[in-house]
Amino acid sequence: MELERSLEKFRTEGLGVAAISYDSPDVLRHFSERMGGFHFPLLADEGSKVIRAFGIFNHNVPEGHEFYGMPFPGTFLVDENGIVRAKYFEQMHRQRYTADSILVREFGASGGKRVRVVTDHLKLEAFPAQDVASRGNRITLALDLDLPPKMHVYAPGVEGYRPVVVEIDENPLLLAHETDFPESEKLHLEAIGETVPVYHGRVRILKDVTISPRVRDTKISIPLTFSYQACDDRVCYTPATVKFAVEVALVAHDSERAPEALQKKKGPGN
Amino acid sequence: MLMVPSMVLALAVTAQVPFDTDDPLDADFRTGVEIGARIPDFRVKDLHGKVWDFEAIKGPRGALLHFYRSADW
Repeated sequence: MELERSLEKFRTEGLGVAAISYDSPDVLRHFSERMGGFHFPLLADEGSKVIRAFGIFNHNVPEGHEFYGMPFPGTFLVDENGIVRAKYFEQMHRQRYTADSILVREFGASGGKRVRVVTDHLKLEAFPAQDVASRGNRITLALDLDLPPKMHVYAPGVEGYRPVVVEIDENPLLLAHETDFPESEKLHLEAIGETVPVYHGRVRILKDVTISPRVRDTKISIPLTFSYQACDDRVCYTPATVKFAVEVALVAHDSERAPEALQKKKGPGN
Repeated sequence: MLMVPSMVLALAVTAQVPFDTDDPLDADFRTGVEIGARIPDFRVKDLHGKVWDFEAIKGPRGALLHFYRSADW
């Protein structure tokens, strides 16, 4: 399980980690041995009591079916008082947020290898939450902008100027999600009596991408287009566009099953 | 951060791409306890039979609770 690899990073943030499924302790022991052991509890919610209590019981599976009792898969980030602070759920089968993406989003983790771009107006560093992922993963990409003093770029919602746009170039093996922009600042332009949303200094923009389960290659290049319009205290420059790519290596999922004797039995009628 | 609605929207325009889009297991998808709400009390055994509750799992700032479909899937 990918969580094992990110465990220390979550512990450093002061978080405990547990993974919960409806599997029996026997199935979990076999899984743990096969995967070389885990350093966080694998909890055996046989009968799906906890899954039901959390409201994520998958009611689509008919009673008696082999997979009856499974949850809608996802991750809760819970504070020390037991209050849910964030949730990461992925609707589509076999797609899921990675632990590293949660670390980048919630704790500003430094992520994978950085691509650096320098333009006439700003510096840009882009990186994926991780350098190695599985097919079907939803991965957060971060773009760190660094603007020199007095320079600004326009934020989404601006009128009359070109706002910052981050796009993933058309690729049938990549599913781009909406861009997450930070709060903008309001800049008052006295000369024309307007207030406009802008970014100054250092800014982090996040964009998720889901990698198709059907990628055949052992790596995938994620091509990005970044557009903006920059102004300083004297000049507004022509809108600019830069293209670059971040790369993620792909490894196989664990697809081995528990021995047949440990597997859940299909009920009659299935 | 919950992004299910934008995902559904993205699917509507990219239905032909090779992603699994219509798995009946995902119908009426639910994400359970709301953000800002308290999780239910629970006690559950681990693979070695040791019993855990939230107090035992959590660190000084809380916990990450990961629900997955199955270790045998």
